[in-house]
This record gives sequence, structure tokens and C-alpha cells, in this order.
Amino acid sequence: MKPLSKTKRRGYLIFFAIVFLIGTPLFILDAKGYRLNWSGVLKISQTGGLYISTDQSGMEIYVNNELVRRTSIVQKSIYVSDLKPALYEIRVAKEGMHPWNKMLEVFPEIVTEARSFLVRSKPLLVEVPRYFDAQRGIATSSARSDYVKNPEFEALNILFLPPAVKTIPIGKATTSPDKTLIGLLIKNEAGKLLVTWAGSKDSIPNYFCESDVCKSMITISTASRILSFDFFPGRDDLLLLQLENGIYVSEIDDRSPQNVMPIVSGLGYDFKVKDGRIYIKKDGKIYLVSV
Amino acid sequence: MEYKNTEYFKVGRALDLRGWDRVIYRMLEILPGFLSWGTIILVVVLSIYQPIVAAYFIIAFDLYWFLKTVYLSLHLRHNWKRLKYNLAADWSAMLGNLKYEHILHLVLLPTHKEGIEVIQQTVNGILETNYDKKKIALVLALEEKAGSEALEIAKTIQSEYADRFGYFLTTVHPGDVPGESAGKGSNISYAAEEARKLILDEHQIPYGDVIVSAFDIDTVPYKQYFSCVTWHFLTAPEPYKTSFQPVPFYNNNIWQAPTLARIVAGSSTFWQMMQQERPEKLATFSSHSVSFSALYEIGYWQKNMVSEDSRIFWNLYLAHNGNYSVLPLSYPVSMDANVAPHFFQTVRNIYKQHRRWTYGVENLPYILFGFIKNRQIPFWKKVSTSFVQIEGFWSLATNPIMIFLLGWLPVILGGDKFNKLVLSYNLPILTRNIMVITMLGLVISSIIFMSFLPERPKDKGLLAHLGMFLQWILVPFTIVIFGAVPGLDAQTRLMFGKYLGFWVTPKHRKKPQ
Repeated sequence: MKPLSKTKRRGYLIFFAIVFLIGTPLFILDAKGYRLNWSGVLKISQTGGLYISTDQSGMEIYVNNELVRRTSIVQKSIYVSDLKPALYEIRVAKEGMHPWNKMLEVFPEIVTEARSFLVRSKPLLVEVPRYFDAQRGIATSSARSDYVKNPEFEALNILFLPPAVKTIPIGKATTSPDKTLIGLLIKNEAGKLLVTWAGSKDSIPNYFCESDVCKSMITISTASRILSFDFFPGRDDLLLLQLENGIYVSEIDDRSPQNVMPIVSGLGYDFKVKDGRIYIKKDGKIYLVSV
Repeated sequence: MEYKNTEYFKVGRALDLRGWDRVIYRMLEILPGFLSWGTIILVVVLSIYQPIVAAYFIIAFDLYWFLKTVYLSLHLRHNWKRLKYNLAADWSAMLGNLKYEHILHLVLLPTHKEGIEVIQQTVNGILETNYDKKKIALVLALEEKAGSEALEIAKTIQSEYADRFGYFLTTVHPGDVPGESAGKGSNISYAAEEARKLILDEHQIPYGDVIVSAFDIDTVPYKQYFSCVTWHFLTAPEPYKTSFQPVPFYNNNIWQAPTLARIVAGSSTFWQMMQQERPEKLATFSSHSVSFSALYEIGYWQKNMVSEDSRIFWNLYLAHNGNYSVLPLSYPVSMDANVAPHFFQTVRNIYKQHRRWTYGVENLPYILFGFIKNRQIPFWKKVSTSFVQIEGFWSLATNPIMIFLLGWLPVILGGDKFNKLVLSYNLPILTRNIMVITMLGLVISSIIFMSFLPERPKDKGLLAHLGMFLQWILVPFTIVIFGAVPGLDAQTRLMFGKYLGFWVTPKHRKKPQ
């Protein structure tokens, strides 16, 4: 039996060389989002994509009211490709939580990113007890002479004291009017938050930009005055807001609509963030909040 | 002056030369490492500063690799058919039509400190071939440095087997000969010369009638090997300008070898099978056969370097001004897969063995230097051979790393601006998809590998058989760890002048349970 003939091998080589020469630009165009369309005539169009990330599993992600994916433990984000440049309505929903909505514009060759957040419609509030009944080994909020003070409550309560009377650890102020975090500078001006990016131009968060155009400032304004704010634990794109009528979470991303969701509604609420946890105080009681 | 008579004909490294020759040779030693590292560094730098260009390059490279894999698979498939055909053919009957009785096979078995069971298996294998043993001269080539134990083993072998061959000779290569580096090359050169004086001259056997088979101590030829070589020798257009290359199987101990050793051994076989269909890219590798007169004319194998098995081809190629080739036999010999008493020792040995093999890159400066010096070789032959050799060493050291490790670099290093592009999102998906499709080709590898396996020992269950099939999913790992990394290691050593010495692969046999 003879070896593979030179003619056959040359034939293979030429064939694969042609496939390579034709295939490479096609693959590159494909990877850049170029697609062939048929709408009466065959034409090439540029597409873009959407990347929506979530924090949890079991969330349903809709694009233009069409369910695209339910997130799982291993995949909490979706990448939707081959989208024609246009405005898309995104909704992320889960039962028992406020849905997150956003209108996002898709541009050619670019992936528009957004990070969703959902908070419970009815957040879990667990009261931090003021006292301990040492004999019975239980916690309580009502005072008695033989009860001992709960040191956790005492420590938290100091956080809620007005700035003038408490000792603030350096860098831990929670009611300061200005805040910075990894390049974000936030100022509270007359009850409105002005967010600017002070970091490098290359690492500006995607919500400042649409396509190649980035804005210098984002404003967060609510129906009532923002009294105080802090970063939502673990997120640099979300803010906790103390308004006159409750505690809210707002995203910095102001692409329409800027989602602002209530944690608790009503007068007289204050909040603080400590060790990655959110605490709320009302009528002398402190609650640990799970959103 | 003929090229074989020049002072640089048997140059081992740049240090053996003087003046500008040394400078040029040194630059050529740097070249392969420079190209490989340059490629890897270029991809990293492009990923940081020009991630879009890097992404284009990676996409093109992915496609190139995929097509190359398919292209090589076609060669592998054809050679598989040819091997099966050649194994089934009756070479003795084919020889019957030719005058072949004058041909003598001089079989060189270089040994170091291997156990007697290894040598016995090889010698028994030669005895089991269907060639007239009286037409075989067996030379057991010992190293003086191996000590008295090796000598005792040799005596036992000689007393047991000497009268069953036409000629039997034990040679002891003296240690510490000035100008020689320890290794197979110096040993078999000494053995060949001793055999010339003590067998060929003594019995007035014409050198032109002798075919030398330079085996390893674990090389067990298949039943018709010598008939097959003889037939090809007698029918080759220019038998004295031809080397004969069998396909190395690693079946001696394949059922006892751990998974990694089996994959690496199988991959090595596949590579040789593909090369058998591309003879212009083939150099002699490991065990091979060649006419004695061709060897004698150039003074046998080089004694001052590691890769004597492939260097001998290039010596002959340059000596014959490019008019020398390798004839692929598509017929197997069986050798040992790398097995050590412990797993990590096996891994270390595989790595070292592959580093030694890939140190064949030391031939590249030799070839290129020879092309500069030898003006008798046609220009375009020089160009095409240079390209084939450079591309071969470059792809060995870089391609697996680029495919399996660097495909995602632009995404990691490209910065936020690049990461907002559709291209950035699609690059890992495209690379992954091409890889997955390419991996499907491993099914063919599994089938071919299984088809050449020796019979399953009784102490091995069906699971062992299944393991032989499924093991191939580890190829992306082995191709990097035991292919690209030792390749890069070898090239880096050559680049910095940290020349590698010969490392004898230990032959360890696990006793069947």
C-alpha cells in the first residue's frame, strides 16, 4: 500500500489553506457581531449584545417581555448576543421581590452591561435585643433591674448617635455628606446625590457610558430629600438612602428607569451599615435587615 | 572539500567552533527559543496594549490549529490503514522475488544499567522475528561506566543467546573519552566500529550488504520487521542514501503503564504515524535502520550531543548535499512506555524523556549552519527544509500553550474598554467551541490506539480497557505539560547555552499482579 500521494496531500493543503484564508475573516467578523440577514435582500448587519448580571439564583431575566433565562447557582448572569441595535426592555423578576426594570440601548459591536438588584417586597427584620435575662438565657427589649445590657445593641446604638456626641473611627463615618469608593465620589447637595467618577478613564463603570460616550456626573434624586446615604454592602453600584419617608436602595445607574426600591417605608427610620450588614433603627429599637 | 570532511561537520554546539562560525552558530542556537518566547510574549503584550489585534490573531490561530488537526488526522488515518496493511502483508514472500540472501542485519542494542529481563525481552523479540537469524549480527553495546553488574548481565545474555544468531558481539564503550559526551551516540558509534572490525572485516562481509538497526535496549521488533526493512532496502531507488524509519509503538508494558504515560506514549506514536505520511518532514527518530556503508562513510553517529537519533539523518543529509531521505516503513517496533515505581517518578521521567526528545531542537542550528556552509544544496530545498524545521519546533513549543492557555488573555488583560466589545465576549466562546470540535477528533485517536493494543493481560479487567479509551480526554493537559513545556524548556536551555546532557530513560517493569 502506497503512502498518501503528493497530489492528494497537496490537494488537502490547498483546500485547508483556502478554508483558512476565507474562514479567518469570516470568523473575525462573526466574533465582532456581524450577521447575515435576509430581508428581501441579503445584507450584512452589525449586532451588539446585552450582559445582565444578578446576585442570586432563581431569577427570571426577560428581554422585551420574553423570558431568556432563569439564573442558577452556577450561572447568575446572561449574555444575549446577535441583537440588532435598538432599545431593549429588560426585566429581572423573582417572586416575593421587587422587579428590576431597565431600558437598555444596544449598539453595534458593543455589549451593553447592567447589574440588576432585587430586594424583598417584605424584608426580614430581626430585632437586636437591648437586654439579656442572664438567668433564663433569653434576650428581651424590656428593661428590668436584673437584666444585663446587650453589648451588641450598645455598640450599634452608638452608631446611630448624632455625629457630635459619638466617637467615629477614622474612615468609618456613615453620616458624612461625602463618600468615596474605588473612584466614585458622591456628594449630597440639598438632598440630591451627585455621583462623579474620579478614577482612571479606562476603568469608568459602564453605567456612566452609552457606547463610547461617557458622562461626567450622575444625579440621584428622589421624591423626598435624601437625608443620608451609604454604599449597599458588597456593591459599589448601589446606595442605601435614608429619606424622610423610609429607607431605600437606589442604583447609581441612571439609565432609564433608575431603580429605587423601598426596604422599609414610614417616618422616623434611620440606618447604618456595619460589617457588611444593614441595621435600621426606629423608635429606639434596632433591627438587622435582610433584603 | 566534501562537506563531511569539514571541521564543522560534526559540530555539537557553538563552543566547538571558533570566530564568526561560533557567533553564527550561537545565534542559530538562540533562534528557536527566541521565536517561541517571542510569540508568547507578543501575545501577552498585544493582549495588554492591542487586545483587538490579539483577539484577531487568536481567532486566526484557533482556526489554523483546527485545520491543522484535521489535516494531520487525515494523514494519521491513512497511515493507520497502511500500518494494518503492512502488518498483514507477507514480507517474507515478497522477499522471495528478490535476491536478498547476501543482506546482513547488524542490530545494535545499547544498554546502560537495564535489568536482564528488559534485554531478554528484546533479544527474544528479535529471535521471534521470521528472518533468518544467521543473517543477523547482534551487538550488545555496554558502557564501561555501568560497572561490573552490567558486564555480568551481558555475559549471561551472551551465553544464553550467542549461538542463536549468525554473529554475537559484546562491546564495552570506554568511559571519559575526550571529546565525547556520555550518551547513546558515543556508545553505538563505538559498537558499530567494533562490529566492523570484528565481524564485517573478519568475515569479509561487504559494507554495502549490511543494514544497521540502531535500536534502544527495549526495542522489540514486530515479527516481520527485518523482512520489511530488507524489502524496502532492496527496492529503494537509492538505498545508500536512505534511512528506514519504523513506527514506535510503546506496547511492551502498556497495560502496566499509568494513564499519563499511556497518553504520552500514544501521542508520540500518532505523531510518528502522521510524519510517516509526510516523509519530507521526517527525520530518523529513536530506533531506525540505515545502511552500514552510509554510516561508515561519515564516521557513524555524533558522539558529542544528545539527539544522535535524528542528528545522524542530518549528518547524512548534509554529507549527501540534500540528496538523502527517510523512507517511512509504516511498520512498527515496540518499546517501553515510561513506567517508574511511583506515579510522581513516572511523571518526572516522562517530562525528562520529552525534554530530551524535544532537545532535538539542537539539530536546528546544525541544519541552518549546514545550509549556510554547504553550497551544493539547492536553494529552494534549503528554504523549504528550514521552514519545515523551524515551524515544527516553534509549533511544538507554542501551539498548545496558545490554544489552551492564552486564548483568554485579551479578555483578562485587555482592560474594560475591550471587555465591553462583542469581540471580547465571543472570543472565549469561539475558542472553546473550536477546541471542543477539535477534541472530537480524539475519538479517532482512541479507536486507533485501541486497535494496536496487545492482548489484555488476565489480571486486567474491562475497566482497564475502558480506561484506554477514555484516557484521551486528558490530551489538552498532556500536550501542554509533556509537549509544549518541555519543548520550551529545551529551547530555553539551548538559547542560554545551558546545554542538556544525555538522560537515560529508566526501564522499569511492573510485575503483573
